[in-house]
Amino acid sequence: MRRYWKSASFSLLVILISAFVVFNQKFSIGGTEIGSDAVLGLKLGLDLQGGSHLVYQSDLKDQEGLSIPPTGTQMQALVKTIERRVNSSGLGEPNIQLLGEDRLLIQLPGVTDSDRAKSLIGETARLEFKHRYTDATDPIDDDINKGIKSISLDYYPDPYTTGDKSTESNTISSDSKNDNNTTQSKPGEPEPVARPIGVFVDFEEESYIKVKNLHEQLVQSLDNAGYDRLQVEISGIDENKRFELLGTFITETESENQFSFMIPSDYFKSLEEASTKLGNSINFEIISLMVGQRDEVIGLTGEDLERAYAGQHQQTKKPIINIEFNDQGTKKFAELTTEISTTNDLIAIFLDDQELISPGASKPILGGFAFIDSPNFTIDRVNDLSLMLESGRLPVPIKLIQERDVDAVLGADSLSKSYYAAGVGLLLVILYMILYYRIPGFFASMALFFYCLIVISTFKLLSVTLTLSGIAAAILSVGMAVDANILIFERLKEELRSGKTLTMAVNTGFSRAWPAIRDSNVSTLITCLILFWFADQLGASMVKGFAVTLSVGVIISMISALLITQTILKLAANSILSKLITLYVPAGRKDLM
Amino acid sequence: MNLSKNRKSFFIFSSIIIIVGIIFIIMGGLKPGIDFTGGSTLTVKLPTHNSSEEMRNILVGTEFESSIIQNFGDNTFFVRTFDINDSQKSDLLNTLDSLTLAKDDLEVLSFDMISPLIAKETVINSIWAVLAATIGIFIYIWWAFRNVPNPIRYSVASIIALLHDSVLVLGVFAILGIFLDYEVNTMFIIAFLTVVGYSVNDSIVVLDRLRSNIIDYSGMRLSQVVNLSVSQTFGRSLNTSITLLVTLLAMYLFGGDTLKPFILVLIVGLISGTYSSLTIATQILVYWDERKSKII
Repeated sequence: MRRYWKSASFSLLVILISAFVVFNQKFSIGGTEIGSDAVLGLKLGLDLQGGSHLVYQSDLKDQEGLSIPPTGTQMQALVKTIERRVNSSGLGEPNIQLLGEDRLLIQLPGVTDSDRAKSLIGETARLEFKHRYTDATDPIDDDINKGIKSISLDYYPDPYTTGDKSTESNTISSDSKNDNNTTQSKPGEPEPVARPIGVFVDFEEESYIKVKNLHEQLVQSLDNAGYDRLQVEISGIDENKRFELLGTFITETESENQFSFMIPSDYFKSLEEASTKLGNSINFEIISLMVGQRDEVIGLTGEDLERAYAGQHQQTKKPIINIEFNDQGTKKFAELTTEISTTNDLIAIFLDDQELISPGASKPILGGFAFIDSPNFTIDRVNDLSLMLESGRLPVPIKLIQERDVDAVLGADSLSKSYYAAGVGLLLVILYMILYYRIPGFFASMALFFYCLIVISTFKLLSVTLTLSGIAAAILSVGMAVDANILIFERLKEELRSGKTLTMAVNTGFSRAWPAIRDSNVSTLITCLILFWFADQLGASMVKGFAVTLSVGVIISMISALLITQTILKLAANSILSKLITLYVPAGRKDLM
Repeated sequence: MNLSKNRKSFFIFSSIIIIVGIIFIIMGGLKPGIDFTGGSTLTVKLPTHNSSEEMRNILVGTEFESSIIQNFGDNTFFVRTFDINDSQKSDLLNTLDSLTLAKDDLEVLSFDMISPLIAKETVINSIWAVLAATIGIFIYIWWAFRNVPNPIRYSVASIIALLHDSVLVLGVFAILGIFLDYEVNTMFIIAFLTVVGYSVNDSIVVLDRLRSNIIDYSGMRLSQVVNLSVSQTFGRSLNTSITLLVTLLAMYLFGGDTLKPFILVLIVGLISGTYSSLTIATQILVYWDERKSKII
């Protein structure tokens, strides 16, 4: 009797510690927090609590566009950058893990807005601050005007002012120098509005190219917010007109090296009036380029930025973005703000050539500290923008190759169903064992209960993530633990039938059942090990969860068979229960042998 | 219990089931899921009552026309399509959303996207994993049975029982694939590997009894030792299977729809594993022993 006390007290200690771990939702050992807010304080996987599972692959390419593998340092830096972005975004604590050499697994538990998470993670962009000129005047190269060969007046060859006959008007513009060629309006149609008059200017080859470039710039600017204009002047005997033209009011004619500039329609009533007022020696001059809006690279980039973080305006309490520059950045930023503070110019901030924001500056900012505010800012927007500003560019471009999103409601539903099913299953097993094996069945149920306690506490202590597949593995491991008990009891029964005393039967029954328990469980462990390796390579968290849970379950099953079942049986064999030997052998089964 | 007498019927019975399964596998019953082909799946819940037919119709003419739609019941639908990017995903959701009366009422329960690149690796790695596990188990059994004559035969017998269970499970799943559109996904692979683990586990328990009896009853003919061992382990095998079956049935009935195909595979594998350990694995040993010309 005495020799069982050692193993008995050890079993009791293990059970008590496990019970403490399981029934305390959260506690800490040596500063390490153990447990969580979930059921029994277990750590839940994404499929049970909802969230996003993302796998990215490096998309690094050399100059010829061929994929090249990233270095370990680059991948580490990538992990850091993404960690920082996600951590400070309020999207919860990410679990970021390198898979192999060029892959990254990011798990975001509880995240419902996976699109926001992805845009935050995948932003590979380069941050750039540009000087946005608004309403500036650029002087024109004087040589352009020197290259003017001849100037004449005619109707401006604009297709839209001649009604619906666009094809016809195109032919007009092709030989519009011919005065006889006028538009014939169809009878019955309203008389077209006074046709605009144009100045037709022939340029020397060199000037022509410059004008052509200017014209292209003007037309292009129409696609942007700011419309560039060309300031020109026309003068004659009685008149001297200076006006600005958009790109659409300047046309290259079919004649070689010739442009037509439209004269605003309110200047002259007709072509005749214009010809009279300006006389024979018409003078034409291109004065300057009026820039509507233009962004100029000034060499201020994300590398000059020290920090960017969300904040709150002291007076208005509105969300703002605080930015701090490093020494070099402070200098450049001071120059920029000094330059624009007296104008309406803006600082245009681009991320991957996409405009993020374009704030202005009312006074020079020399200290390198600034904040950006906008009426449209929300807290989320400000947070995301500051993160994008701060991280600038990922060290390695990445692409998404796998995504798995689970809704939290679905996860909670799976979890509660699994708990319910596991509970019902366990209850049925206990019922079956007690009915079939009587006293040993009762002991087995006790052992099973302790087994579950130890398994759950081990999961908690090792912070094993419980997934749906892990629950399946746990059930299988319960089955194997039950099997171990059944193996022992069947052997015990046989030994009792062969006429051994209970104590002897317990001893031999146990030692004879052990090799089967050991070998079957070791083979399962081999399978788990291989599964774990396979899952680790792929980031298949479902398979990995299964392998880890089953391994833990199988190992504890062996230990609990050795320790707890054996101890319970040996203690019972030496107690009053040993008198009720018939209860160890179920009735009606004696014929089996 | 005289198993050797019924050996032929065991082999014929198993062969018939396996052949039927293989026919269904050849018919294309094993439908690879996105884990193996790449693509996307989406589980959505609608606020309105709609049929899969309506859902299919709304996708006609869009780039998602060839999507596979399944009705999970409870207004929940499963949509499988190619590997879509973010903008395509929102296009798809908007299209599906037009089925509902109010906008933005569509609830996305889960979304999976796997690029074909990673899917190809999954196939290769799965095959390697199964092969590696088989080899590992083969070597371990060989070693664990080193004290009985011809230990390698126990390895071979266990692996054949394992193959028997694997093919049977695949066959049953192929039948389910044909009739219920079940797909082979990661969950199936896990279930399959569980069956592999259990099959070997169970074979070892039965063969362990044989191992100890061969030593205890040396001189008895192997077929007799096998009969004795099987009848001794029969109670244990039955009880273990019943307790596991009870747990699995509880899981199947109460465990939610996502787990159902998974549990079904386990149930089939459990029954097959128990049967093959008792009959196939042991009878292969007897057959091998009684053959005139012996190779190993």
